[in-house]
Amino acid sequence: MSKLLSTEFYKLRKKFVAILVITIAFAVAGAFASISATGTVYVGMNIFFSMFGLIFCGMTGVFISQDFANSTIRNKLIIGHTRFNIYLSYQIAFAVLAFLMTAVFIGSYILLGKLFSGVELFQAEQPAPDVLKVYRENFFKAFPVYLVAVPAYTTLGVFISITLKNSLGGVVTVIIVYELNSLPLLDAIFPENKFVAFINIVLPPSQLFLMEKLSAGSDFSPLKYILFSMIFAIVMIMLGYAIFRKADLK
Amino acid sequence: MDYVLKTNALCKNYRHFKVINGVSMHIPKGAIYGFVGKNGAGKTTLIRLICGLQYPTSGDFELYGVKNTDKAISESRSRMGAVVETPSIYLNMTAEDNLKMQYRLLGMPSFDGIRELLKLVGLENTGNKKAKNFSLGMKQRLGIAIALCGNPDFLILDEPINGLDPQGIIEVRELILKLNRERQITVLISSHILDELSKLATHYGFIDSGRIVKEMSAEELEQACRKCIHMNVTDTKILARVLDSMKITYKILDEKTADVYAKPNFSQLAIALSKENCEVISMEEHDENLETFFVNLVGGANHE
Repeated sequence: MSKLLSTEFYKLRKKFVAILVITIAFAVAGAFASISATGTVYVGMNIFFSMFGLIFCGMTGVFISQDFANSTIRNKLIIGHTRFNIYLSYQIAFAVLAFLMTAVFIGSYILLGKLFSGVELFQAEQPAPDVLKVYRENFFKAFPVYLVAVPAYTTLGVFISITLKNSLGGVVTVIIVYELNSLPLLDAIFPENKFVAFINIVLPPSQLFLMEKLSAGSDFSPLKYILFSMIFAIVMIMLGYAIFRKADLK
Repeated sequence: MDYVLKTNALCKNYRHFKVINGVSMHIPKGAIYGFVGKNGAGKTTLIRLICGLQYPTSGDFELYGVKNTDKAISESRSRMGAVVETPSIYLNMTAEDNLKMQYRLLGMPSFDGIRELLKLVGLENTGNKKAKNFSLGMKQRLGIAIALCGNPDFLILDEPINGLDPQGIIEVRELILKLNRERQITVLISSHILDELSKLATHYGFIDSGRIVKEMSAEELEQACRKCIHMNVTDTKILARVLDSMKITYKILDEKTADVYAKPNFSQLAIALSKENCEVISMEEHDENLETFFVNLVGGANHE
C-alpha cells in the first residue's frame, strides 16, 4: 500500500502547483464575490464553496481516468498489487489532497477577507453587519463540515472513474457532480418533502450548498453532517471496490 | 522439468461466448515460449488472465508453483513483467520518469538501475522528450523497459512487434534474445507473425478458438517441419537397413512408413530395396514451414 500511495502522491506532486493555483483562484473569486455583495467575507454566502467541491470531485475523476486511458493501471496489477490496495490508494491520495486544499481554500478566503474588507472577523463584541454575525456564529460549525464534505465528495469521483474504467471517467464524473450540485434546488421545489430534505443532508454536494444558506440562529449540528459525509464516503468506497474487485480490465 | 507457468483447464467466458476453453499450457523455466494463434484465438485474453487483469471463469493456473487463488500469487506476480497489447506508459512523462514511477510501484530503494535499463532498450538518449512524442518502436521499447523494472524472471510480451518497422522488429528480437541468454529471463511471447517467432522461440504453444491445439519444443517443430520424403514401403526394417548402408538419415514412423531426410538417388534406393524384396508403394515430398504447419494444425483441429 505504501508503494502505491508514494506513487499517487508523486503523481499529484507534479500537479500540485496547478491545483494550488486553482484553489487560491477559487478563494480569490469567492472572497471578492462576497465583498462586492456584502462588504465583507464569511464562510458560506456564495456559490464558490459548493463549486470548489464540484471541481475537486471532477478533478479526481479526470486524474484517475488517465490511468485507464494510458493503461498504466495494468502496471500495478501485473506486479501483484491487490485491487483493494489500488482502490484505497487512489481514495486516500485524493481525500488527503482534497482535505489540504479545502483548508487552503478557506484559509485563503478568510485571509483575503481580512486584507480587503478590513473586518476583524473574530471579535464578536465589535459592531458588525448582520452577515458577519451569521459568520461568527456558524464559522466553527461550517468549517469542519466543509473539511469533511469535500474529501467525502471525492469518493464519488473515484467511484465513477474506476467503475467506468476508461478515459470517459473524468468527463462523466464532471457531468454527474454538476447534476448533483443542482440537487439542493429540489428543496425549494418540494419544501415539505422529507425525503428531499434527508437527501440534502446526507449528500456532501448538498451539504456544501446548505452551508451557504446558514442563517443567524440556525440550529444545526456539524457532527450530524460530518457523520453523514463519512457514511457516504464509506458506502461509495465499499460499492466502488465491490465493482472494481470483479471487473475485467483490458 | 521446472515450469514457470502452468495452466489447468483454464476457461474464460464473456457471457455465453467461450474465449478461453480449457487451456492447459506449460512454460518451462528459461524458455522463450512462442504463443501462436490467429487474431481472436484467445492469446491476449489468456495473457490478461495470467497478469491478473481478468479473472478466469473456471480452471486455474500456477505461477512459480503458486495457484492463482492463493494469496501468495501477489508475490509471484512481483517476479514478472508484462507488456499487454499496447505499452502502459505515462505519455506526459519522459522515459526516465516512467521508469521512476515503476520503481516506486515496486518499492525499489534507489533508481540506480534506470540508466542501465534505458541503455538496454536503446532509449538512453531520449533526455527530456516526453513519451507522447516517441515513435511506436520507442514506446514499445519503453514498455519493455517498464516490464523489466525490478529484474523479473518472467516476461510476458503480447504482440511486441505489431506495427514496428523492420529495424524495430530486429531491435526487439535482439533485445528478447539478449534478455533470455544473458539474464535467463523466461519469455512468453504471443504473435501471429510466425516467421519472427521462429527466429526466437525455444517452445511453442498453438492456440485456436480458445483451445491449445499443440505444445511442442522448437526441436520437435523443426523435426515436424523438416524437409523430407515420406515413404510408404512394404517393410520399414528392410528400408532402415538399406538407408543405413547408404548413410542417409531417416525416421521410422511405423511398419510401413518412414521419413527420409535427404534426397537419395531413388533409382539406386529402389533397386536396393527390390533386391531385399521390399516394395516401394508411394513416395511423397514433405516440405512444411511454421506457417504451413500452423495452418495444417488449425485446419486439422477445425475438422475434428
